[in-house]
Amino acid sequence: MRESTPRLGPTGKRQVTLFFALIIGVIVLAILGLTLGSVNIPLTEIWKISTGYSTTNTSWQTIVIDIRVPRTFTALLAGAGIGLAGLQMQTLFRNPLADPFVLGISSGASLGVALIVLTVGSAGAVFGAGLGLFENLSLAIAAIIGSTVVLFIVLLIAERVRSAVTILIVGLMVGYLVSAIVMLLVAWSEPQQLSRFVVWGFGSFRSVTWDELRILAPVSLLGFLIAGSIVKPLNALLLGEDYAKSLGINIRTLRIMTLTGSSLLAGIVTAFCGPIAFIGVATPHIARSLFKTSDHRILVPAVILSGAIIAMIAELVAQLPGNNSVLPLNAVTSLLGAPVVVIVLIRSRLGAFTG
Amino acid sequence: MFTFNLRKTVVLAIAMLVISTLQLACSSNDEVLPSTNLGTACVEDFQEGIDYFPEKASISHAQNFSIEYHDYFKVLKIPEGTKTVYVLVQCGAPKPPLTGPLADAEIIQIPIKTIFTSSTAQIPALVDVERVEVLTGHAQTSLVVSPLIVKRINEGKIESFAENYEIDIEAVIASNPRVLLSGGFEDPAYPALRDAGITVVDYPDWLEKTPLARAEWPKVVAALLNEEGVAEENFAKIEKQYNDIKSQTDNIPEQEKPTITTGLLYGDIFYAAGGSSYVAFLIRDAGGRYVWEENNNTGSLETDLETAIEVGGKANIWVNCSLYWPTLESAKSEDARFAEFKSFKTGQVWNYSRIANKNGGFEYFERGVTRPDLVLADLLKIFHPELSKNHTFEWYQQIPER
Repeated sequence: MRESTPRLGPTGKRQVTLFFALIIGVIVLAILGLTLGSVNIPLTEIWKISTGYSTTNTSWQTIVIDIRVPRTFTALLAGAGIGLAGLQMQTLFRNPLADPFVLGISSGASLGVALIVLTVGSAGAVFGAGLGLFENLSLAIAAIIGSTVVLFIVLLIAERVRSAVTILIVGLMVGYLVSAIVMLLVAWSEPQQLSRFVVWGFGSFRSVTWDELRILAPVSLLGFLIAGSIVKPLNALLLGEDYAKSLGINIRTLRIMTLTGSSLLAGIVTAFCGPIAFIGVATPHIARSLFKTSDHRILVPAVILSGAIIAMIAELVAQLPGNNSVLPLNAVTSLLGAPVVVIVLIRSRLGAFTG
Repeated sequence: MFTFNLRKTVVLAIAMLVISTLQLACSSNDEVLPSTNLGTACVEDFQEGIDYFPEKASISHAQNFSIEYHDYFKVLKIPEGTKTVYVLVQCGAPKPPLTGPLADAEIIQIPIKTIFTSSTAQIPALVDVERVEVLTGHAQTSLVVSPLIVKRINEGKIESFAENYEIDIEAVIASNPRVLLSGGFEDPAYPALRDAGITVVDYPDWLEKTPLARAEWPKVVAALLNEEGVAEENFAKIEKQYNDIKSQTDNIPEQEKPTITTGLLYGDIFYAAGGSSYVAFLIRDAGGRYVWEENNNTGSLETDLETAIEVGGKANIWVNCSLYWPTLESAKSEDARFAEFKSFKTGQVWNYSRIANKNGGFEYFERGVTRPDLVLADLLKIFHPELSKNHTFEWYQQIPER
């Protein structure tokens, strides 16, 4: 199980180099996220603004502090969170296609959002009911409740059925059921309400403001911590549930921990950013291929870093430097990402999943 | 100059001679020359050489349609439409010989007795010539605000043929209107309607660049109804009132004009009226400086929130914001960053949402296009209240703080 080599072998050296490269990548992309945008702001001004000096141009201050910083942070957290949720799901179900979306967790989040947006009468009624100030917050809570309910159903069934494959199929079916309810809500809704739901469905890191980051950041960090605390039993699980049991691991607790952690991450990200395609299923594969390992002690930080990088690159491409319009984020992640994953998998001769 | 006038006079004299001969010929049949168009009737005893359309439309602003008058038929051309040439033949007159470019033309016998409209903005064309009785169907009757039309809808005289955006082909064919005014886009349902003998007349008024050009499109409907006389009178009034307001702002020095932005955020994209759009014309003519002026779009422009804050955030006044902002507080709860707009801090955020029905139909959309003079008067009162003491707001209202 445990590589107890005090000195680093060639693989170890490669991994250290990779970690450095990824960390530098995150930093470079974060700086790019602050400097690139449709409005040209000189680097010196950005430095002044981000180090707390006041600038003469107040709209620049707003653009950097209220638009670029939250956007970059959101991409970082969301990419890392969705990637990590995907990794945990894939290990738990021992299935390379598993991710929170396959399990119906994101459909549950959609249902929560749809219930709020599509059924609370007109937009005016929402504001009239006094929800105005907390509207975004209520959307988020509804999404998390939605994903948790779906997760709870899947968990209940998982208690009775031991087969990981069956749970996966059950998750798929629950997802379909929930999506069908969302479709019915969509069919009955007013165009104005529908447009808000459609906008949410595009997926975006830009709609997240500081107020929402105050919830997104701590919940994501909690999710990272849960993932970090179960790396060792997850490694054991890779060798099979029976083997893990023989090591004295409580499979039930592990399942609940993993599902809780990943549904928390998937729910919070989906609530604020909408359904983000592709990153959840692809990031773990990219990390496994890069680091040539399935050891979760390496993979958890590797997925956090590479998920953040993928999301930040997608966000930069989505804003089309040189043009001041914005592309739908999900189109960018899939267009850029899918070929990359295929290439990575072919290069590593498909042996990547079990390492 | 003089010789030209002389020639014109001679031609006129000959024409009058011909007419008077004709009149002599007619007088034996006890018929008099028509002095107005036949608004509802047919010609009973057709005579060659009589001008049956003494009231003619003259188009001075619109670029995207033309009407050519002959004695007993009119040629309506809409170059950007799916069908570009229509021949409108006076009822009771024979079918004119259609050759050359007219060979493919669609023939409509006028005055028409039934019409379907696709956009609420087309309805005033009927209301303003007092011929609402011909309107027998509208795409989404729930969005109509005009009380006169709503009453007729409730009486069952106007049916809704596309309440869920999809045209109910069978209902339209069953009702069999003579003409269906399109919204300017081809619809998958139109071929079936054409096969059933319903003429689809394109109505792309939004292609026009200036507000007055858009306001001229009701003349197309007037031509179908032989109501050009009233339509011309109406338009002349609108044009005069528009130009009167515009002349008030001509002398305001540029630096005393407030800066104006428009726009709303949809997803990640901020949509504002283009720098060459008719909204930009209205803003300029009402004595405002449009902050997106450098943009050349005739429709809307798309940008992101960053640029919106950089350019629009500095504007003194924000007009045409989201229609679904009951208060500035609610706007900020949608996105806290709106608070950074200067117009938000001073409360100078306005929209044309004053008159609406419970289904989300706004009267501005219905009447705004055909009454640019009233829109301009509203904008003048927002931009330069000191110049507009007697005007009461038609559609615009200030969005309250909370």
